[in-house]
Amino acid sequence: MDGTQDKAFRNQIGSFSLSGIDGEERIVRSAVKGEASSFGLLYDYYQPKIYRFVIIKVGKREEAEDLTHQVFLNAWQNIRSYKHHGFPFSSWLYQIARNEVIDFYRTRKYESRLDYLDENYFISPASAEFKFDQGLEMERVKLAMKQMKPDYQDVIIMRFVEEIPIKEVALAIGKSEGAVKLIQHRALKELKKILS
Amino acid sequence: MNLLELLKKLKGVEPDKHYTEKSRLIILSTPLAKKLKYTSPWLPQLKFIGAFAIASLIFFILLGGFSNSKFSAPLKLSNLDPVGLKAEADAIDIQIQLTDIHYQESSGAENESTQALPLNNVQKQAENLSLKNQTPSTSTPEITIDEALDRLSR
Repeated sequence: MDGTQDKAFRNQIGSFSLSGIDGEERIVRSAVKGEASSFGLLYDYYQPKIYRFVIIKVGKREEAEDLTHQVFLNAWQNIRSYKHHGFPFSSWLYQIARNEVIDFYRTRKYESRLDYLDENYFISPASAEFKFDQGLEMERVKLAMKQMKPDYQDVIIMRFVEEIPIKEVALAIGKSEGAVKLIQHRALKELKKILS
Repeated sequence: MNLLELLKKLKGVEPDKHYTEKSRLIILSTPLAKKLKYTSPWLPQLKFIGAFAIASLIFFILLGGFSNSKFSAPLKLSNLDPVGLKAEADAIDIQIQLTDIHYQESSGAENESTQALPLNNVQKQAENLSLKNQTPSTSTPEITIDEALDRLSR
């Protein structure tokens, strides 16, 4: 699919909103049938979220880019096996992302030394307006989160960074909603303790 | 700034645009793996019919269906021949009778004598006892011990 066709498709769809369930279901159904342009729309919407999720967990931009690319490549290759049945597409993507990060830690030697952390990963056009002290604070938060359990990290990122509903978080991490609430409470408590 | 506000600020982290465009292009230009897909609406029914047919065939074979068919006469099993079976049964009956009589004879003699009776005189015993078989009575014949011993010694 070239850029011209992609633009034409987007113009046809118009200013769609993926927040509406009906809209996303229609696009996902089309993508499941093999429509690359539909999957492209899903990629545009979810790629920044998955990237943030991954980079907060792994810390390095290059690694985060590779992993994010792998997440969407896997999703596209296995799109035909996706069945909605009340399971949101975002939860499916986050599941793939979690598995990729787990495999990343399994296959590579992970070193938690501070100098391995990319100092510039917070720098982006959107964050350019951040004040210097806020940038430092966010880096502290990021370092503190890396000391937490993976489940705690996942819930913190999905609930408080991406503001994903509890139900979708529960589906993504394979736990009940009650368990997610409990993890959320404990994760925040632990994060505050580490930061203090 | 409190913790929750800081976490929300992390939403400002964005991937590099050049990386995003390159990644998107590579992913969408990757062809999907071709998967065999049966689109026939009759497939579920065909599967059921096929499974049922195979199960019926196995059941038919287990019941010996082929042996009853005239087209598969060479495959007839010997143990299903009624005539042969009857002859076999008759033969078994005869053997049982002889053995039974032999037992009665030998058990009667043993009660009176401590000497063991010869067990290889089955034929002689059979001849002697054939006279006995003429009588319909199945009860033990009234003979003296001496007479019984004489008969056995012949």
